[in-house]
Amino acid sequence: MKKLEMYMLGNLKIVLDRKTITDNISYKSAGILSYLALNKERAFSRDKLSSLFWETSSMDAARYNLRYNLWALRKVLGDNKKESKIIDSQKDTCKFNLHNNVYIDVFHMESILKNVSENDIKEYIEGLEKAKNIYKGEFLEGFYIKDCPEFNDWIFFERERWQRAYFDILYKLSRIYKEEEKFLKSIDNLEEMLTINPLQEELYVKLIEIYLEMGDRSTALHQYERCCRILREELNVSPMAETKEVYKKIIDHSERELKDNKTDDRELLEDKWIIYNKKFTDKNAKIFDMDCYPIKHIQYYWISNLIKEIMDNYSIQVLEGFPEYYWKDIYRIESSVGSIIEGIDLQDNLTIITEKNKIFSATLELLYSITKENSLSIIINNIQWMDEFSFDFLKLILFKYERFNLQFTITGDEEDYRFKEIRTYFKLKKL
Amino acid sequence: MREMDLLLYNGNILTMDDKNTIKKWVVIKNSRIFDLGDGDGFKKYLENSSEVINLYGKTLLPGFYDSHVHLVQTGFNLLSLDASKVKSIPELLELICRKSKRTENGELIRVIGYDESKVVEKRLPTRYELDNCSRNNPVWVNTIEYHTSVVNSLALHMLKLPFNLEGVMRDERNLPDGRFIGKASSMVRNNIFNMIDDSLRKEGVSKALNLAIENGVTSINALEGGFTFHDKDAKFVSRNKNFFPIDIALFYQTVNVKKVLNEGLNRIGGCIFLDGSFNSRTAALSKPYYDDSSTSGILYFNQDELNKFILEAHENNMQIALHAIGDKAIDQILNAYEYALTLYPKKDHRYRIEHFELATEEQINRAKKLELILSMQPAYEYFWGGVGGMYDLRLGEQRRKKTNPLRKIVDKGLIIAGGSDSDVTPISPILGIHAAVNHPTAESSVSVLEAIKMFTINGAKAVFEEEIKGSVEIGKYGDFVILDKNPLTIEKNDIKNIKVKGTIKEGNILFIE
Repeated sequence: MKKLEMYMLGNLKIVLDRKTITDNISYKSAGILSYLALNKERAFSRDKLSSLFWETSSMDAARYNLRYNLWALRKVLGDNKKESKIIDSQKDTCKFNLHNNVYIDVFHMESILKNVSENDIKEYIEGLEKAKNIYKGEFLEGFYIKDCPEFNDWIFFERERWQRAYFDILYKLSRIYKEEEKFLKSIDNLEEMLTINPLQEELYVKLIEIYLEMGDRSTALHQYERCCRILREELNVSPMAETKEVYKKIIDHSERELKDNKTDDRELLEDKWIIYNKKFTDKNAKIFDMDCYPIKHIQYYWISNLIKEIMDNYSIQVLEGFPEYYWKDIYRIESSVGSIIEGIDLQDNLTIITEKNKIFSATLELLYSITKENSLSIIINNIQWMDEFSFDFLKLILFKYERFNLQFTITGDEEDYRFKEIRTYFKLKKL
Repeated sequence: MREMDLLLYNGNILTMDDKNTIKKWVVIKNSRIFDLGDGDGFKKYLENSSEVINLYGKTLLPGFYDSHVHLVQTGFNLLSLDASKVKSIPELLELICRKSKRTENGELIRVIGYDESKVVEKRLPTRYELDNCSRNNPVWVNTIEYHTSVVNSLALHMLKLPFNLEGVMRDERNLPDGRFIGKASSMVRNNIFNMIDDSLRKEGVSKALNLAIENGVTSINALEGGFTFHDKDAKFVSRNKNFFPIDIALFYQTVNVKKVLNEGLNRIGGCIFLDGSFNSRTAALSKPYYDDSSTSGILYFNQDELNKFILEAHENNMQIALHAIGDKAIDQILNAYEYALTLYPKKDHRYRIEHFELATEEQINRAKKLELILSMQPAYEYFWGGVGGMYDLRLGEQRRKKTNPLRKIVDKGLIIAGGSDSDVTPISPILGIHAAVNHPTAESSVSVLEAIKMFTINGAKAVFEEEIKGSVEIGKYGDFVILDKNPLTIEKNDIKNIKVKGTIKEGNILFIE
């Protein structure tokens, strides 16, 4: 018995025995198959289907067209044995047989959601993540048949229904991850919700609260500004009173952080060390003076700040000239990249290692690209506070140092392992 | 080899220089005015000019400025279906049906100017009604002032709107019925402008510029991007400004200073709406509207936000312009300018207020103290002024008599740059001059010469261009407009009937009749 797989969450994909057959089926036939499949086990009268798909034709012509399309479908599906027919077509009715050899993503997602329970958090998260991964895009994305208004309305209805389900999954995941203190994952889910609808002010508030909980005041502030900017540009309104309250929290947090840091500051050494690069020509070099903060556990935060510095200091023409596929990878850690490249849609599900490789490689290329014309000098203050992923990235650049017209200057605790490691491999000059 | 490019003689040249000199001839070399005079001096250039035009007594002025144009949207609207005159929904649908038949499948049909208060049904159409007249083209109906949108099913499908968007009107099955208000209408508008290709912008802008040229305009201040417009419009103008036949000074309508800097521009704002409009009763007033005492309009910014934005733009050395119509909004922008200029005083900043329609005497004094440029649209008075006009209905007699107080502003020594706010009113400086001279409130009217200045030398000053344009003087660009009659001598009620006979940009004839 042949195995039929139908993927409707995203662009329609129909697979028969591991072979994609979507292109072998006419657009209307694909519509009929999808409609029957989603209404599994429900028998439709042929007249109903005829009028649904050939509303403007005469009844005879419509019935003929339906007969022809059903025949064509059965032919492509190899649907000729009575006992295993996918489309059960009788004289007056038609229905879809959902037997064991049929996989439909929508039902898969539905069954996962039906069975997940918050009793076991680990399983709950696993279930939600699984369901999330099934959603690759809008229900029957891009599918529309001009002369079938009722069928199109059915698509509109299902589209909203599955998007709502997906949104619900994202919401639950962001909440649980926040409770579990897996902040970055919680943020990812909130960001995904914002990609769907960027006008939801309450989501920015949630993001800000998470960043504050992480101790990352600067990104919290950035999120507040992002919210203000979007509301102003899209709706010409100021944030709600609740959002402004959150802004106050950021400011309070900042004042606290300032007080906390004062004690630490005394212990830091003021010496500046150049990590010497013989390729570096300091003529007209741009200078980035970048601080590290005592928030080492927030991975990528330093790289993210580096990207922001680059975006602030290079013209849009230069930035837009950088390949889109690299921006897409950088977007994983710095959402303001969305202002350069529109419509980034990250639907992939990478492992942490693959994601890290992609981010490193894209950021490395970005640095290479901007230092081709002009030299760049980056001062890193308090390197002992750099997050581990960013420090790995720094080492990667240093191992490829001579490729870049770039030079780092560092300050910080010389007893810290980061400082020692740099000193082991690279030439340091005291300023 | 002929040394001169163009000689125009036997004319009546109102130079608009400091002394308002009148000359008879002018000669252009390498785009600039090489010589001019009022006697026979031109004869020496007759033989060595590539082109010679006898003006036969016609009037020549410096090329007009229009200091307030939404160029890309004007262009789009010229390509759109105008529904401002329909009286019923069937009439609207008939209009769309006809358009759909002559439009290529898949091409967007945009309908503008629909006013539900003026149709017998007093409502918007639904997508099902629009589907009946066009299934092969996405259709987008915009109401007047763009607050509401209606789309057909094909457009709805293409828009990819989120299920939880506020402002989506639904039918009894809980499906979107195609009508959108508030947030949803903004997203619809934004998504559609995002889908629109720059080739359509090019087509629209080219039409708009031809209209401008036919009306004697050689310099435009284009106010583009941002809320109710689209950033792609600003980027389109910014990236093509060297290819347009006339000069375009771009104001990027955003509060994001970095975005403007990144685009390599130094002018920010334009119609950044501090308040709305009188027609929709959203212009912010200190006292309620005459015809609806429940509202005094809306302020879209709070003072702190505005101060922060103005200060950032000021610190980044940008020329700033903002939309303020009602007296309350005017107060807010004056406060913000005072705040920034007190913290970091700056001379010759030429910060602007766009519209300035209901300014009080005290506010005019404050504007003078700050040396602001007031970018105003006299033609508003032509369309909305006087007894029974829109100003009268919304504001009542007392305040209607105080709108657009041009005389007081000029008497204070402030510079008014004239504009059209196209396509709210058409790009026609002649109409603007007429409206300023024939202001329905006689004591607010200005002299013809003062009105011409608004659309010539003042326009140049409003964008730091008075050294190269705005008057007919040696060394300045050869930008001219030729008129069939002299506005200084014609009956003032007839100024609007003056015809533009020719437009010349840097010595090149762009239009001549």
